[in-house]
Amino acid sequence: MYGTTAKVLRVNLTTGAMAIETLSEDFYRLYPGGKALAGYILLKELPAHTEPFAPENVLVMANGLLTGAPVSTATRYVVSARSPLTNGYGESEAGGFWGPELKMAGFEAIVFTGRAPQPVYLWVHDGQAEIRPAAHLWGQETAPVQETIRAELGDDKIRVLQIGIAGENLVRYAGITNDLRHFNGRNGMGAVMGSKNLRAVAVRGSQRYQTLAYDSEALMALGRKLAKGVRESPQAWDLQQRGTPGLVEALNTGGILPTRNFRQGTFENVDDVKWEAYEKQLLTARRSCYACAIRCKREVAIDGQVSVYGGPEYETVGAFGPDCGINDLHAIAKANELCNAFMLDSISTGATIAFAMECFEHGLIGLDDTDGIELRFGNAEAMLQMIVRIARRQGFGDLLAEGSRRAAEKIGGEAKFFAMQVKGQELAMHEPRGKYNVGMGYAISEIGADHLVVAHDPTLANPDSLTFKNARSLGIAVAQPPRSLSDEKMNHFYILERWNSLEKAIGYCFFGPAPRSFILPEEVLVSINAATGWDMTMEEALQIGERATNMARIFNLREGFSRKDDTLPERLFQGLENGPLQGNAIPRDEFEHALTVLYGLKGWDPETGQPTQERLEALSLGWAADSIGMR
Amino acid sequence: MKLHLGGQFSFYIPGHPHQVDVPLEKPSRLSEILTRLGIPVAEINLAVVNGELVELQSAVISQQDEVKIYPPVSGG
Ligand code: SF4
Repeated sequence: MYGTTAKVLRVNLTTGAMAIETLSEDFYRLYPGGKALAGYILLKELPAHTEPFAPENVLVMANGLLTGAPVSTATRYVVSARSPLTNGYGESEAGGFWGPELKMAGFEAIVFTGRAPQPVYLWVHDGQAEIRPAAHLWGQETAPVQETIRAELGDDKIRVLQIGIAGENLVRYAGITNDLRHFNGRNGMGAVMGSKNLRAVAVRGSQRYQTLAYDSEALMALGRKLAKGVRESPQAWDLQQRGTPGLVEALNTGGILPTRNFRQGTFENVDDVKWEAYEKQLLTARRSCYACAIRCKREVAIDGQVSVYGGPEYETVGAFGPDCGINDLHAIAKANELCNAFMLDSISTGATIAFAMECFEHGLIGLDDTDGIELRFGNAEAMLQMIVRIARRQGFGDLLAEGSRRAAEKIGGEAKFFAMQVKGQELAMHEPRGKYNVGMGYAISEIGADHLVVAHDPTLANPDSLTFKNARSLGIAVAQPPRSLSDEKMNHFYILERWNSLEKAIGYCFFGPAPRSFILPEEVLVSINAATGWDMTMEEALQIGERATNMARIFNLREGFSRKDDTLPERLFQGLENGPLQGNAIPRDEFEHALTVLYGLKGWDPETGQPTQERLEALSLGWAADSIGMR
Repeated sequence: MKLHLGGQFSFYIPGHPHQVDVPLEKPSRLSEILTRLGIPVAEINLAVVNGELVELQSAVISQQDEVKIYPPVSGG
C-alpha cells in the first residue's frame, strides 16, 4: 500500500508489552487515519462506560493519511480517548512537527492501554519503541522536560509530545503540547495521558514521505503549486501577516466578539487587544508547522524575553481578554505562557475563569470561596493567579479544574446559566448569535462545543465571493445569510461537516482547504490519489468524513447521549447585551426545527439522534449497529 | 477619505498598507470607490463608516469620512 506506513504501535502501559500491527489497504481506504482511525479503534476496543481515568480507557494518537506529505497544511494528528470533560467521545487535533516525525519513524498511530506503575515516557525511533522512566520529569514545566528528554537521548531534533502538571493533576481540560508550541488543547486528552502515568512521547525518524507515495512527483508538483498559491491567496496572506490574532477587530466590529462570558458581543477596550497592539507589544517573528508555507504561528517576547511557548492564538486572546473583560495584552501573553508551561487548554481555562467571574459578580461565590481573590471581570492579576491554582488543583482552583459544568453543579443556584458549555466542554471564542451554523456546530458536535465542525457562516454568505465559489465543487449551491437556520443552511452544514471530518481523517489543517482557505477540494483529492494510487471520487472522500462523524456519534449513543444533549447554553437563546447585534438571540423554535432537518440529512432518527441501519450500511458501518443494540 | 483595510484587504493594495488615504472630488458610492482601488467587493463582509455599520451597496462616502472594511472570518 502507498501513502502510509500502515503501521500501528500498540503499547500496554501496565505490562510494558508492545506490538506492531499492519493495516490492510481495504481497511485504510475506509478509515485513512486521524479521526476515522481513532474513532474505529475506540468503538471497537473501548468497552462502553469505561471511566475516563480508568486504566482501561484507550488513548489513540493517529496521523492522517497525508500528515507529513510535502504539501502545505498536511500536518495534523488526532488524539482520542473517552473524554473526562464530556464523558463522551474525546478528540483533539494538533499540527506542528510531531505527527510528520511519527510517520518518518515508521508509524501512523500509537494506541495506549493500561496504566504504567510509575511515570514513564515512550521513545519511538525508526520502527523501534522503548518505555523509559519519567519520575525525574514529573511535576516539571514543559520546556525543561523537552530539554531533558532531548539531552538524555542525545538528539536535539527529537520531537517531544507531552503533558504538563495540569495533566498529571487530572485537570479535566488539560491538554497536550508538541514542540512547546502546538496543542491538542481540547477535551482533556492531557488528563487521560496523566491518568496513565504517561508524561511524554518522543519521536525521531529518518524515512521520507516521498518514499511512501504512489506518485511522489505529482505530490511534489502539487506541493510546489500550493506553496505558490499561498503567495497568491489573500486569505493565506492574511493568516501569514496577522495570524489568528488578526480576527479580534473584525469580530468586534460585527458584534460577535465574546465578551464578559458571552454576555456581550463587543468589547469597549478592543483597541488594547487587537492585532495592531499585539504586533507592537508582543510580536517578534512568524513560524510554521511542518512544510507549511502559510506560517500562521506567532513568536512573541514578554518583558523583553522571547517566549519558548510561542504567542497566543486568537482563541487565547479572546478567552483571557474580552471574555474575562481584560484589556491587558501583557497579562494575556502571560496567561498563554502559564497554560503552555502547565499544559492547560487555554479556551476552557479562560472560559471557566470567565464563568467564575460572573458567579463572583452575582454573589454566588465570595472571597471565602476564592481564597481571597477578587475574581471580577477585568481583574488580570486574579485571572493569572487562578490559572496557577487550576493547574495545581490548589484551593478554589481544584473546583475550577473540574470545568464549568461540574463547578456550576457544585456552586448551585443560577450558576448553571453562567456555564457556557455544551456536553461539558466550554464554547470556543466564537459568538453563535451572529453565525447560526457555528451554534449548530457547538450543539451537535460529538466532542462538545467545538468551533471547527464547519466553515463559519459568513464565508458562504455571498455567492460572488471566492470562498463561496471555491466551495461549489463540494455541492454548495445557494448562498445563505449567517443568521439563518433554513433548510438550505442545514444542507450547507451537512456538506461542510462531511468535508471538515475528512480533513481531520487525512491530516489537513482547517486553514488549508477551501472554503476557509485556498486549497481547492479538487486539489485535496489530487493529493489523496497521488499519495495512494487510488481513484477516489469526491463522494467517496466525503463519505470518509461522514463515516468518522457517525462513529463518534455511535460512541456517544452507547454512553447514553441523545438529542437532548445537542443543545446550547440558555444564554444563546437570549439577546446579546450590546453592539450591532444587541438583542439578537438564536430563535429556539427555528433551532429545534433545523436540528430535525439536519438529523434527516444525516440519516439520523429525529427523536433519538440514532443513525438508521440504512445509513450505517451505506457508510460501510453496518458492523457498528451492534454496539447501540440495533441488531 | 481614510480607508482602513481589515483582514486580507491590504493584500490588494501595492505595499500592503493597513490604511490608505483616498482623495474624493465628490461624494461617491463606496462600492465604486473600492472597485476602482482593485478591492473585490464580493469579499467584503462588513463595512463601517464613521463607526457605524453600513450597507455596502448603498453607502455614499465623502472626503472627510473614515471607512473600515472587513472580510468574513472563520475559525481560529
Ligand atoms: S496554516 Fe498555520 S496552523 Fe495550519 S499547518 Fe500552516 S502554520 Fe500550522
